[in-house]
Amino acid sequence: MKPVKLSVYFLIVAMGVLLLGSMTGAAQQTVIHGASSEPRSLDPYFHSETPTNSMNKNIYDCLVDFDSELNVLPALAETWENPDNLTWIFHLRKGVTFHDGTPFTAEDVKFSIERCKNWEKSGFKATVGQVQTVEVIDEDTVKITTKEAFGILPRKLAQIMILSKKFVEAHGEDYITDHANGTGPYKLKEWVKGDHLTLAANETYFQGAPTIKTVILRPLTNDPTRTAALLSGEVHLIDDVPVRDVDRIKTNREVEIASRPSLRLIYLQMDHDRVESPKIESPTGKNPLMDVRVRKAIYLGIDEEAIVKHVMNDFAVPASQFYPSAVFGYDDSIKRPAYNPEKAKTLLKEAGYPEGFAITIDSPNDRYVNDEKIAQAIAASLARIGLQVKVNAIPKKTFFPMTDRRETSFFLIGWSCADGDASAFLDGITHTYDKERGYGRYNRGRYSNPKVDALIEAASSTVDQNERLKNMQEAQRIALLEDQSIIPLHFQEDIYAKSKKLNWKPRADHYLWYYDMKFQE
Amino acid sequence: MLGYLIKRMLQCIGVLFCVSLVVFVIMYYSGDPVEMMLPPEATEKQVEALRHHLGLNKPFHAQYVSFLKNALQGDLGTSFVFNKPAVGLIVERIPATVELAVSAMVLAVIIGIPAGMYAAIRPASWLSKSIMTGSLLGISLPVFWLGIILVLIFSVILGWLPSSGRGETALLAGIRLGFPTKNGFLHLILPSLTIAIFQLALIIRLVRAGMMEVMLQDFIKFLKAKGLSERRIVFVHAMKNILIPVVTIIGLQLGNIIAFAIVTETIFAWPGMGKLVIDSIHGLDRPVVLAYLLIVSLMFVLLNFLVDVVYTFLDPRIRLR
Repeated sequence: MKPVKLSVYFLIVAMGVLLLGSMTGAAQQTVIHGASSEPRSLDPYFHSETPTNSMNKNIYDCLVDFDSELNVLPALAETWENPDNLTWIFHLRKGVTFHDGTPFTAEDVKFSIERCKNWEKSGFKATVGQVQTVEVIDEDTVKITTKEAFGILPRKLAQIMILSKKFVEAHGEDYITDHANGTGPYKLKEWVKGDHLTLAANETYFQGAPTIKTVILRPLTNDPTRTAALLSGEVHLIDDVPVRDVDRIKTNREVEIASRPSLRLIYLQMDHDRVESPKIESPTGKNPLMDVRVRKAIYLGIDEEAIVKHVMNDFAVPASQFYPSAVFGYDDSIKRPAYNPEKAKTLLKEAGYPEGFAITIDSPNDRYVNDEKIAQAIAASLARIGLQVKVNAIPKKTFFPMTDRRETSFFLIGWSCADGDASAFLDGITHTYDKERGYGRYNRGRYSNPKVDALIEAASSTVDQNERLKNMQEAQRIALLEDQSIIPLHFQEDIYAKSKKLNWKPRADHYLWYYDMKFQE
Repeated sequence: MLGYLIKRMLQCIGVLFCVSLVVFVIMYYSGDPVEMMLPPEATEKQVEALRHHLGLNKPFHAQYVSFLKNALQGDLGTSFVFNKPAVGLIVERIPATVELAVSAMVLAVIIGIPAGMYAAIRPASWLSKSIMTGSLLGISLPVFWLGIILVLIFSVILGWLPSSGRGETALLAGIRLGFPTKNGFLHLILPSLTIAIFQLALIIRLVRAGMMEVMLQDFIKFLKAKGLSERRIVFVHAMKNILIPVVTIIGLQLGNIIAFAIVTETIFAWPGMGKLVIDSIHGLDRPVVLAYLLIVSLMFVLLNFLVDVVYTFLDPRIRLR
């Protein structure tokens, strides 16, 4: 090609780029969200699943809400009180209307909670499992009684979105799968499944009209596609950015990464109660993990800083305890001890294992971010204090049933306190296993300490939040600091990427509230 | 003709029955969808109740018989994941997939047939050589790689074309189609190109081989001797003779593209059936997977039938029996 022709060609290309660039300049009141997963249903009780709940929260309101750090805020209920440990009186906000104009009343609350409890397909039955009755006192007051004292009821109700009784009864159960009529900041405009879901601002929202007038959610489930859509300026925001794309996004001047620690703890459970454990070979023939000194040695012998840096590319935070600071029950006096292989070796010697022992660490390989690599890093780290660790990483379909059958001695697993309260972790993982009473369903190492059990039960038998906090913190202090019931590793981070023009901060629960978003002037 | 139609119909029913049985067996043994439908805090009792409600606690044969009964009445079940009728979920996505497949095929045929013919008639020219090299490349490039590279070049670096989605659509006779709007048309280019390249390469090679063979036959020599122009010989007489294998391949490949555009649909976030079915397999959403495969089998049977009919027009010696 002659030089003249070449330059003409470049000129045309440059003009094309300029033209398209000016055309794609976004209208300042529309946010386009490239989502890694599409909501499944707009019926807010069908499946409890983050992308679905996240979308529905923009259309519906609950009696109470969480702020971005999971503190409880009033929403459709302005205030509430407890005449006794089993009774809750909620005073509803006046003058709120649904998107179709019908006023919101106590009848809607009763209808919603009962549908949530009784509808055959409800995915939220467990959330309201403790609710005994819902009574309408008058148009703006609801009385809820619980089977037992249930201090975290407001946190549970922050997940129960309120439907319009009239609307559901007029159109039927199936209609609301893809038609929505809530009280929230956005109305559903259009949903073409697999392609886009469009929301329009509810100008009469009770907290004030939203700044962003139109929201378009585009499901871009394929990772490279999502990243490409952001880089080419077709979307303003993407979630679940793969770690390998982070560097590429950082080189683009129009966009930036936004990340924050999620609620998910990655941790290790250990066999506490069997003298002969299936996957351990120790010189004494016994299960060394029953000795607290050995458990502490393992905690001190894992170089978590290195795992976060090299395995997680810094998109994780070393964990000092069972839950991150956004969770009610967090104890800021607990710090993670520094990596100390020397002290770990001394502890092992004191416990009678100067030569260490052989153990297998089981791990899923398709559930958590870099799960298998973390297990390998742990094995390498523990080799330096004299343990021979074999890694067995398997798909989650086989891994979870295996831990349930307890065919493991030492395994890597995760937990997320989705309702922002420590009780789920303490009830499910720290309390002694008790099938009848529903405790310890995930306590698959069978840690047990009656003192801790008493504290956990005391915490759940009151609605006094200060009392609950005190008991829960004490329970964690004993279980973690004295008994080393589990070994915390790190909290995963949620990674998002967005246009630099969009002002928005990620929330602890990974929900996207378009109401909080704003474009720079 | 009538006898032929009835025979084809019976074959079709047999095929659909076998497909439903095989898929049902596979989905039945791949796991329990209920475990994936309820959150971790759900109790064992709640899991049992939901299983009972969906009829998943019944033995295999009872589940299959009740499926068949409903299917004969036109009800292929309700999606576990979306709580919507499975057929409806698939049918509303058919236009997107068919639009993509047809535009890719049109592209492949429009370019492929002339290019293949040219390569056959002027095998020594540099253009023919590059066509053949290009077609070899087109056949060997993996689709996902090609798609990502096209996006990288045309969307991310050059910014000329949108990288994903369907864009604006217009309603034509109640069907949502993208190509009538400018925005929708732009969205269609990259994905249909991605699919078309392999088909294009295939057609080029097929046409070239057929053409070279035909051009050596006696009747062509006869036509030349008769003094017909080369253009008439090539475009009328020779072309008719190479079209039978080409039409067969177009028919089969069109079915293939519609059924297996999954990779392309995933890369371009194209809201077609392929993406739905992949998600449904992961979610163990049996009604949707079953409905999809039944619809796709039906489509294959119909396309093959159409191909047979087209043969009779191209070659009067072929009869439908």
